[in-house]
Amino acid sequence: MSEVHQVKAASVEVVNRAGVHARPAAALVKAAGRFRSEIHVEKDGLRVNAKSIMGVLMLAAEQGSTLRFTAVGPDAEEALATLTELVRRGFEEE
Amino acid sequence: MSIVRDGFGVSEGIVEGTIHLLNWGVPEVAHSRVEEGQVEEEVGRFQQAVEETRADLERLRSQASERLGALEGRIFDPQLLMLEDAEVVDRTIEYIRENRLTAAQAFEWRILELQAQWNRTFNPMVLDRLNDLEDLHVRLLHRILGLPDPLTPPTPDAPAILVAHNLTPSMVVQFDTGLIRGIATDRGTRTSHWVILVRSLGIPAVVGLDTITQLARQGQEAILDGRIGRIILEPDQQDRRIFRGRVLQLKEWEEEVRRLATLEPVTKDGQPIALRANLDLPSEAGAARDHGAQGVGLLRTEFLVVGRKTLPDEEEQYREYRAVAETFPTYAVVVRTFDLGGDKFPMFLHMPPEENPFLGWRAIRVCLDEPELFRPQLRALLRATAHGDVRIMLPMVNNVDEVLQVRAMLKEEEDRLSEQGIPFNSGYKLGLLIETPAAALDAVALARHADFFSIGTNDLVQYTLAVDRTNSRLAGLYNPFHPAVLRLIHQVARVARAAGIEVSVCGEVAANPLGAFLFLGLDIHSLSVAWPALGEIKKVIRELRVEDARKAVARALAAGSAQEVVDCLVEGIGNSLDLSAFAGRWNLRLPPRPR
Repeated sequence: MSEVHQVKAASVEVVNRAGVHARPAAALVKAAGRFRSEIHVEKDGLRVNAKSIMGVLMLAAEQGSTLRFTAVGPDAEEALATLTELVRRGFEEE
Repeated sequence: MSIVRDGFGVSEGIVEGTIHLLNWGVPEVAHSRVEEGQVEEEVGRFQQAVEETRADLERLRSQASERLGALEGRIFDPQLLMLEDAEVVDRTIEYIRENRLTAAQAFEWRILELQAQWNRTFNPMVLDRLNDLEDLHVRLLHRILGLPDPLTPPTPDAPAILVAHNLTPSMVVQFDTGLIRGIATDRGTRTSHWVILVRSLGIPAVVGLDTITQLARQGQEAILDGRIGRIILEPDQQDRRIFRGRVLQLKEWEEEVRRLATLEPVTKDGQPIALRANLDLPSEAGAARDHGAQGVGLLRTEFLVVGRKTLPDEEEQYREYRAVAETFPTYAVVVRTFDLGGDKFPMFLHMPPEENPFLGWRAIRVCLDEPELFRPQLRALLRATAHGDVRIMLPMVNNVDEVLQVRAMLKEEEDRLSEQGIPFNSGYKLGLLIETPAAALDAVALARHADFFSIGTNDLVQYTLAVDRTNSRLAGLYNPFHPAVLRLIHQVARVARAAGIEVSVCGEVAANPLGAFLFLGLDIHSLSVAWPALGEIKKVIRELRVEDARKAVARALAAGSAQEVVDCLVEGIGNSLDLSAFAGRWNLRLPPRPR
């Protein structure tokens, strides 16, 4: 029997100058892939699978834009904390 | 028999080497389906290709990390993740199973879909990543089809002349540049990012050769001349002799040019000539000054926008223009406003493909339609006038109305700057690049609204003769000495003189001794050339006499063909200059020297 999990959500602003370009997108997808939860990320009404590089690149999140993460699953809280922290730290690019 | 092809020399130097062909490109995929029983075999083929490509990319990543640092190594991460992405992998497998497609065809379908999806966003950040997708497309298809690695690097035992359709900066960093003697490509421009990279690495390069990837064969001997923009495949004895002679001649010439940098550009009979530099990048200003440039006759500004994701802001532009102005505190710096369109597209402007881009939405037409792009540039330029004789030049103007619109915009920006207490020099000059027959023929009207003219011969020749200058098949027809071109330039020079405004020439032909002589004869006393050519053209000017030039041009104006024009000029120069040093350049056929 599968557990029932609630949808958790968290928003974060993109702070690094170049935005979520190729390398940060890759970092984000890698980080999301380490969690068992289903994770989505949304920007301006476009919602994509955070574990898909094709999806995350499509967001084209620029500096100053807001990303909203939603997660469902056993490690949802932890996933949200890790991902928002990664974005907040500017993907450790600068 | 040797094969000679001319393109654009974008990075100096002459080298001999062996052709190393890069077959970077999407291979042809035949349309075919498979039998029901073979479907799983195709799935397996695809999965194996994915694994092989992953291994290739991981190898590249570790090479790049070693050579350039961990951060650079990570440029391969997106492609690696795409190989794990269900959007790419699972969907391809679905297509194989549901439609009984071959692995190659299914993958191609999926990539085309993704490309279309990304293209529809019109978002520059997304469009920029199409490179990564193409990179994966090419690599994985090669693996599926069992083709050799499209990017086999040259080996250390054969100094390579790299031949490719086009390159990217990441391809350049991928190679051990110590093994590459020269580069020749079908596409590319002086301002392509990889070209700038290659120039800074000091590797000679010729671009715009159109079909060199089809002509050249792996392992073929070749000579590449980045100075005149030429490649010779399978050079014969005579080619090699000329090559070695040119290397020697160039060495002597360069020494002479260094000596000349300090001398004044004055004709033999005492006419001073303002000799300025054409710059692609502000960072070239120092080198231009050291080569003896008396200011900048053409500062191109496309570097600020081409290949960029966002609009360049006013502050950044101001800093760049100001830096160039401060390099030449006592001379004019003529800045051409954005000359976009044609073959130059910024990523943040959506420019729909056109049937005739050179007759399309370009240059001043783009600027006037895109105030968000144009106004910050005008403001930055106005602010730069506080730091030197910064002049504003508008490209491809045909109508007085276009000048008036810009004047009105400038007035508004001046008022705003005054209100904000930001300094600028209100006495700055606004000039026009004369590069269409319409502008030349209507110069009288335009002169009333312009502070100076600069004749852009590259486009003027193209538009007058209806010859696309990027089409190598028409290279023989692209002739700046055509009598029609001569008459137009004559007309512009006469009008400018009558109107009391300065007229200069800033096209390639100004760096040609026959061109320089021609302009002297038309009483054009200001020339602007690519900065590496400054010393050479100064040497030429110091050997020539305006009086001879006037007489020769008077005869040339009555000539019936380009060859007759050239003959008149060669005869006029007579023994004052050894023209044999220039043979083979600018596709110019020199007649035998007059006795």
